[in-house]
Order: sequence, then structure tokens, then C-alpha cells
Amino acid sequence: MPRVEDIQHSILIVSASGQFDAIVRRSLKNAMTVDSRKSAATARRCILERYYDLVIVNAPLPDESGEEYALDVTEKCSASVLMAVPQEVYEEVLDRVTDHGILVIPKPFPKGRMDRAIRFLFAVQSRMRRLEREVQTVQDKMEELRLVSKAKVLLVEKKHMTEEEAHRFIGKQAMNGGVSRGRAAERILDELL
Amino acid sequence: MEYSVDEVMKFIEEEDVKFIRLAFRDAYGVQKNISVMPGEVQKAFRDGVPINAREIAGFEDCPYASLYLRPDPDTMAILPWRPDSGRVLRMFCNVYTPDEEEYVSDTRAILQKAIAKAKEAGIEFRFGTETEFYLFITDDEGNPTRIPYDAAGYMDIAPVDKCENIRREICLTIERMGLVPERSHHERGPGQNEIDFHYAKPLKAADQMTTFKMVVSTVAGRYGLVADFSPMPLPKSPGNGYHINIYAVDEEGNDVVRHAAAGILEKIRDFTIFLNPTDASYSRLGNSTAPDRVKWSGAGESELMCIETYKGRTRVELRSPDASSNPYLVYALLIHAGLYGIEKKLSLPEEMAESAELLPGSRREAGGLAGKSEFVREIIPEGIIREYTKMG
Repeated sequence: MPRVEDIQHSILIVSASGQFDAIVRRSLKNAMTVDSRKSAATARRCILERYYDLVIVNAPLPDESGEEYALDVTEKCSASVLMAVPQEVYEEVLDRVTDHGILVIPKPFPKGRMDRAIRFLFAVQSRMRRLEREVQTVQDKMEELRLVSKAKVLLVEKKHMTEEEAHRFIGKQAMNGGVSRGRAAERILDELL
Repeated sequence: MEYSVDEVMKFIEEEDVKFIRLAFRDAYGVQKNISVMPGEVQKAFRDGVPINAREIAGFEDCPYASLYLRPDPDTMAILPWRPDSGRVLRMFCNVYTPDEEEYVSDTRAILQKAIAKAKEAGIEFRFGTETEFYLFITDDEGNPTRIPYDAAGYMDIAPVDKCENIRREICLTIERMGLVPERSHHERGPGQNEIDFHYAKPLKAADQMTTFKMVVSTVAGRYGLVADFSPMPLPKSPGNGYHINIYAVDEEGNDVVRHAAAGILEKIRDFTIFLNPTDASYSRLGNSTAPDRVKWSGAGESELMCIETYKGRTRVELRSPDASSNPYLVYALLIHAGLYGIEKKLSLPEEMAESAELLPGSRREAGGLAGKSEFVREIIPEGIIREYTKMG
């Protein structure tokens, strides 16, 4: 697993208190972007505007408890969500948000707990990214197959090749041009369509 | 959506509704509400829920201490934001007197009377709306600013258009409340948007306009923005219009909207105060693409009325109203003026006539015209006319 300091992440801290902000920022020395917002409303706007890997909510917020905002984030984007909540309501909040994949830590927290929570969520994010990449690769392959078979049909119809010839033709074009079969198929489609 | 009282009661039980908002409106169409618990709803349908009338704009002269709200079960909608505990259901109400009569200044009842008159005449009206609004950002403390959310222009796309996601959120939300949003885009002004929704029968259209304003303001607030529907939010930028598409057919299904349009053009100066009730309304008229003369066109885009026929159906777009108006009054007046035109089989005046009259140029002038108008007096009760025409 990569260490926190190896990864460049984009983080949003939502907290009315500047002190909390400073503590969290210490755990995020290498993060690429750290944005801070003071209210749920302005933080909601951030989620609409850009991509974040991690959203850290210091509950309660001035305009909301913070719970609803955290739930909104899990619905609207794939960012991980970490909530720091007062000890008195910790169990209660945890019970309500845990099924939504939100990590909750009680306040006050000992030195190091915030750090480990962030590391944990980054690790989860990396695994998600890896899965996303795998899904993307499969989707790209399928798209390539679709293009290639479409190009084959055109070659058979318009250039009177057999399927076998069309298959070899696309392979040859790809090799000659130093491009993928998908790209070669695209060029044939551009020409024959 | 058609609901009966029983269905509403069943729904409240099954859906864990904890709070029922009974909504009504003041003389300007501003939504007001009072909330009741589920145990009180049956009683609300039967006896009504009392409100202190004199605090409401346009209800000041009410001779009774209390008026009574009776919900219209047909207008039931669940507020689609995530509930903290239990869901919230909203119903629009009519306002009744202690003698169980419809209260004369309840604008929803005024519209219902107009609809009844149209029905008698065998005419069916439909209204569609195109509403513009600005989005300004709020600061970290949640106070509104005058800073537009973006600097984009007409129909621009992201990333210049930062409002796109909010418009999507608004459209999805109003859809869940039973409205049919048709088109939405960035408007000319910075942070200015337009959302159009599908035409509907007059009462539904007015209820929907009320819902729409509430949803836009609520969604904007959740995202740290303020929605501004007022006619001229920024002095140097285009104003906000509330364009109304009008359709009218008779019992045989014949399109009679051209006669209706002629009737509206003839009477519009008399009732402009109800389409444009604020001082700012008159800064908008004649500015940018907002009209200032009583003329129509088949092609133009800044005339008072735009009339076009597409695929056999005539669409009349009235472009002067702004959203500080009360949709119930606006639709009631348009129905009455439309019926007048249809009854007299009026023809449209010459297109783009040079001699066309000016619309009133100020609230004072518009108020004066309304005060003298027999036509207005027959439709709008005294108390409301006084509310709209009072100066200073």
C-alpha cells in the first residue's frame, strides 16, 4: 500500500474552526490541493465545482449538523468522507452514517488518530481508483472490438473482402501505422463511411 | 396527480410523514405556510386551520379575526430533500372565512372563478412558463452577496457556465415534485439562468410556479447561493422575465388563441400593475429585450407578444410579466382578457404597428390605469387593488 506522503490528493476540509483546519492540514503535508470551507452550503458548492478524493467534516457545522452534508457527498461523488463528531453523539452518528461508508472519529481525538483515519481512507481511495482503471481498460477493449467489427463489415461491403481478409487488413494497417487495431479501424471508418 | 382525502391520509401513514405544510399565498403570490402534525390533517380537511389574517399582505381589511386554510388534496407533494426525521408533505390550501365562504382576497379562488367562467364559455386555457433568475453567492457566514455565481453569457457551456449543475439539481427536484421541466440554459446576465416548464391547466400552472420559486430558492440555499427572481437585480445587466406561453382552444378543439391574444393586447395596460407590481419592474421594461410597447410580432424577440405557429399549433408568448407578480392573479387576468377577445372575436392589430401604445412607464402610472379600469374592478377585489396601487 502506498504511504500518505506518496500520493497527491485533493482534499476538502469543512470546519467552522480554524484550529481543526490547522490540525488536519498537518496530517496532509503532501496533498495536492487542500480547500477549506466554513459552512455546509459553501462546501456543497465545492462538490459541484470540482473533484475531491477526501472530504473531512468537523461536526457540527454552523448551518447544519454536518451529517446531512456528509451523506450528500457520498451520494453525489466518489470522495471518501471522514467525520469528526463530539464524543457525546459519536455512537448515534456512527450508527446512522456507517452504512453509507462514512468513517467517524470522536472528538477530542488523540494525536495520530486523524492521521491514521486519513491514511485509511486514502488506501480505500487507491483501491477504488485501481478498480476504476480496470473497469476502464475493459471498456476500452470493448470499444475497440466494436470499432474493429464495424470496420470489418464496411470492408466486406465496400471493398468486397472476405472477413478473413478484412481481419488481416486491419491488423496490417495497425502494424504499418504503428497504432492500435482500434485506431486503425477508426481510420478505415473515417474513410469509408 | 389526482388524490383524494383518503389517499392523502393513507400516504401520510405509509410514508412516515411527520410534518404537513399547509401553503397559501399573500396578494403578491408569496408563499406562506403553517405546519401541522399528521393527527391534525383530518381536521384540517374538515374544519380548516385558523390563521391570523391581518398579518398577510392584501388581507389587512379582513373583517374576521381568523381565516381558515383548507388543503386541496390534489396538490399533495413530498418535499424531496432528505428528512432529518420523518418526511414533509406540502399541500396548497384555499382560504375560507368563518362562515365557510371562500375568502374574497384569496388569489387562488380568484383564479378558480376565472377558470369556471372559461369553462362556461367552453374555452380551455393552458399556460407554460419561462422564468429567469440570478444566482448570487453567499459568504462563509451564509450572508447573501451581490456577486454573481459566474460570468457566463447566453447559452454558454461549462466551465464558463458554473450554474449548470445547480440547474440540473433544480430540474431533478421539481420533477420529483410533479413538474415537467422542459428546457434550461444560461441566460444573458452573469449568473442568470432560465428554466422553462411544460404548459399545464391554469390552476396547476400557478401552483407549479409557486412550487418552482420555492424549489429554486431552497436548492440555491443548500449550495451556498441565493436565487433572485426580482425584475432588475443588477442595474447594468438584463432583468429577469417571467414569460408566459398561452394556449386556448374551444370545445371543438379549434385554436382560438389569436382572439384571446387580441383581447389581452387590448386590456393589458389596464392590468399591467398585476404583471409588473414593483418599482423595479418598470426599470426592466424597455431595457435589454424586455418590451415597452403594446405590440406583437411573428418573428421578433423583444416585443410584448410573440405569436408563432409551429406544426399547426399557435403559441402566444407574453413577454412583459416578471416574477414579482402573483401567478394566480396573472393567469386569472389573462383568462378574463382572453375570453373577452374570444367572445368579441377580436382580430390582432397590425403586426409591429408603429402607432402602438406604450406600456405604463411607472408603478404610479400602471396603478392609476388599474384603479380606473372597469375590467380590473370586475375581477380583482377592492382590497387587492388597494394593496397594489398604494403609493409610498
